[in-house]
Amino acid sequence: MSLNLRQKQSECIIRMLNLNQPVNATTGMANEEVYKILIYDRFCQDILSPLIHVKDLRKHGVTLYFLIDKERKPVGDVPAVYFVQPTTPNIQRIAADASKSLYDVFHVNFSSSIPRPLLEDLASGALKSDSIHRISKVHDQYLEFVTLEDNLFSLADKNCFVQLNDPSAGDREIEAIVDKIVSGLFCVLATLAVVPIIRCPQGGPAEMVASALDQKLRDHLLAKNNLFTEGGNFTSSFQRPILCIFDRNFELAVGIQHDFRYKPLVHDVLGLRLNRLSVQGEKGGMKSYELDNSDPFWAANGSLEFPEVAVEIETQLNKYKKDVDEVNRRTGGTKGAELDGSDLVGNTKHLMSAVNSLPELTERKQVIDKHTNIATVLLSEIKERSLDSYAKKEYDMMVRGSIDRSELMSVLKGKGTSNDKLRFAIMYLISSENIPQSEVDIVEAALREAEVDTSSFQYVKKIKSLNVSLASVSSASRGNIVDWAEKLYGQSISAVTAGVKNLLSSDRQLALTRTVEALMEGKPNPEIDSYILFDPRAPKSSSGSHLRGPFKESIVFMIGGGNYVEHGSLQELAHRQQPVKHIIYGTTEILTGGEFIEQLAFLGKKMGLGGSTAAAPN
Amino acid sequence: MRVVAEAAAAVEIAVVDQCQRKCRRDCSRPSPQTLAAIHFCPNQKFCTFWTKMARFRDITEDFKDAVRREALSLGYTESKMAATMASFIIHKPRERTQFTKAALKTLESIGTLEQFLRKHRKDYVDLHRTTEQERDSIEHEVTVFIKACKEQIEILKASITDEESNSKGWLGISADNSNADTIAHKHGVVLILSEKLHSVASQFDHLRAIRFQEAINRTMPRRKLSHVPNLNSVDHSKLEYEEGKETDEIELNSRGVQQQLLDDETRSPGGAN
Repeated sequence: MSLNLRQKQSECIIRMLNLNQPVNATTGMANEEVYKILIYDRFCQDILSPLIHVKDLRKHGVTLYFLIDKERKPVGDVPAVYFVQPTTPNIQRIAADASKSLYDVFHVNFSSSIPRPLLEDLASGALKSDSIHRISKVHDQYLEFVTLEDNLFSLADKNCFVQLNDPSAGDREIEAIVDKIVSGLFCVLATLAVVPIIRCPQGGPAEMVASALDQKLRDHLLAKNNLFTEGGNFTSSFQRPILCIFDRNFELAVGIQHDFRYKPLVHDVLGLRLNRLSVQGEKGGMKSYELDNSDPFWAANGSLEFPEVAVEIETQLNKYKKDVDEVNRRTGGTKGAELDGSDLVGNTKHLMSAVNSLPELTERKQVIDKHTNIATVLLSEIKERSLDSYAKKEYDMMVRGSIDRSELMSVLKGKGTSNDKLRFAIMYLISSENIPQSEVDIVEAALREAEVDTSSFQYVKKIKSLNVSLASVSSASRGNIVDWAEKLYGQSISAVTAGVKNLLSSDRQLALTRTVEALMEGKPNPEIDSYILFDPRAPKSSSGSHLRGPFKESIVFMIGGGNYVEHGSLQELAHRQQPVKHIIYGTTEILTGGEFIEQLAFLGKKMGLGGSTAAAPN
Repeated sequence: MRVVAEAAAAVEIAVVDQCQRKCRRDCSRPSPQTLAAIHFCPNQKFCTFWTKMARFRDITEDFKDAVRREALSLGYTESKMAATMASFIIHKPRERTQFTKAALKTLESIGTLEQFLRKHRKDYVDLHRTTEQERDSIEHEVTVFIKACKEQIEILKASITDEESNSKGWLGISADNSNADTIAHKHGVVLILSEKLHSVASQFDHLRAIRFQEAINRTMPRRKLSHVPNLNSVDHSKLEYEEGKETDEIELNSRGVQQQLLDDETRSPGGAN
């Protein structure tokens, strides 16, 4: 059984659209109610949009679809399917809609489990307006996450990193954030219908999330114990997947570094969001493209470096031209009056196959044109900002552990946006363990000269310096540092530079990937032996030592933000294995380098390092 | 009661395991019969997963409890309470509008057509099961049926615009039926119907193409003997239409078929969905 999150979530949504009734195999629709209206909020719209197209909605009988807070008129004779988050405004709106008898029948679906008080609010709202009879069904769908690919998901949890690392965040706030993450992860597991073995490094948000998730799963598994005739069984670890939870501070570099592969570039530079992209078309206007696994070029070449992508586009174009010529040649046939029987029938066959191949050829051309357009726009950005240079120099810096000062300066004074320079400067900070303060000052000065806001740089500088001073705590500054360190939950901050060591060994091997490989292998390994293990199925007392692997499948979750680079790296790992393994990658939100820097900058300002007042990043 | 809903999720998780152990089949794959990629466990005898999965996410019971409690706190009388709770179970049969009734009827017709196609598909395609004449008659029936469905859809469509214009003039007709959303919904219904019909018609086109291909294949070895039927001109074709001298009755028939097929092929817009 290979875990395909996208398929599972789609199935759940389709079932919901069919009013949670079994589907009639012949008509493809539920027997009772064929037509329906779909109403969603913004969050659920984001869930739906990568999964289902408008014409697919129609296949399931959806005639209209609306945002819940839009002004809507009554439509009789058709049920309404609501798919919304369980929030107070949504509840109020549903109750209002029911009281106004906007629709005959309401099927209410919540993306995650609705808290009791809110359910009671809905009940009371409907009772007061005497519209209880309109509400037919209420469901908790456990679908509160966004799936972008078969093995890539996000909890769409904005600014999670900021919230977790905010020095002024209190215990209650942190707990609320952890609960939100746990709820999202629980939805993912419920949709996949798996209870994994959970592993995480000690300390920090990762341990908090893992422990809370374990507890939540335990509670649920215990509640209906009598349904398990083989209760308490330990299915072999080979069948259950492993869920590995990490925190962004484990490997900061990945969120910041410039990458030169196609998918990360398109995301980072062109603003890919929910698998959609808008770019300037060749003839002027804006063009909107969809980029998901149904695009064969995207699926096949997403992990190639950009120059190779350009070559591949060229190759595909030439192949296309050749095939078109072939078709033309065959159907060209003999002209003129004489009709030799053999030619005619032969030509007919060619003609038919040509007609049949036309749609396929057209589609191929569309894909080629799409990527030509995207690559062209990318190329101009790359040239303007010298992104190839940033990517290469950052990589070299990480591998070598140092950079020539003149080279460093030339980059900071050269091409690129403020964010590009900031990212480069921060990578410089991360790339070597010991940088003399004077060098750091020079870099800061160069940044200021380029009129770049240095808050994020200051933040990473501070984190790094804390790491050093934690080792030798001086009494004078102890108060501040302990406070600050406590806020970071005693997490080892040397993790900030930990990624470096691993990058030095193999090319582009992320610390995350190495760790996941070790966890999946399950052999004793000093890097992961200290990691905590939770098994929600096992009684708390058992050691669970037999459940350390090997694992065929894993779910890797990054708290605080992730990106396509991490996803790509994990997929490479999965395919490298013999036999091939499966890894699903998820994160609280998918961030571009620029977006992550913004969060770091916010934290820097919060700590009073930047200067100007802190405004929350978008 | 929160536990109940949450326990539901857990049971679900467990039931899948149980189902998989019993069936020893992969419950995550859709079965061959599904059209809309909905999961059916292939081995439904053991699979309570399907019903349970739906049932445990269902918190309508919790909602009913909440209603009951709220009603009590609002001071509902016994009878009022009973009436309220009854509305959960007893659904007063809703009178469907003319429009909806007609739409459902058309949908049913299209369903019947699809079933007909499914039943006779083998007969139609397999050369040994039916004669040319039988195949022609199947084609004829299907074409007539498709036309009838199309007409029904056109009528439905017209009724929307009629109602739009009527409601402006007549005082008697309530505003409910003429608001923008209702009209959009009706257009949606018509669109769904025509897409469904188109999909069935495409299926049939595909079958006809197979028949045509076979007809061509049959004439291939005979090309030296008799004059091969020609094609009606297609835009990019460089062949010319010519009156053929057929000696074979079968070929005469198939030529008519070919012409008709190609007529329809070129007319059919842009291929399947």
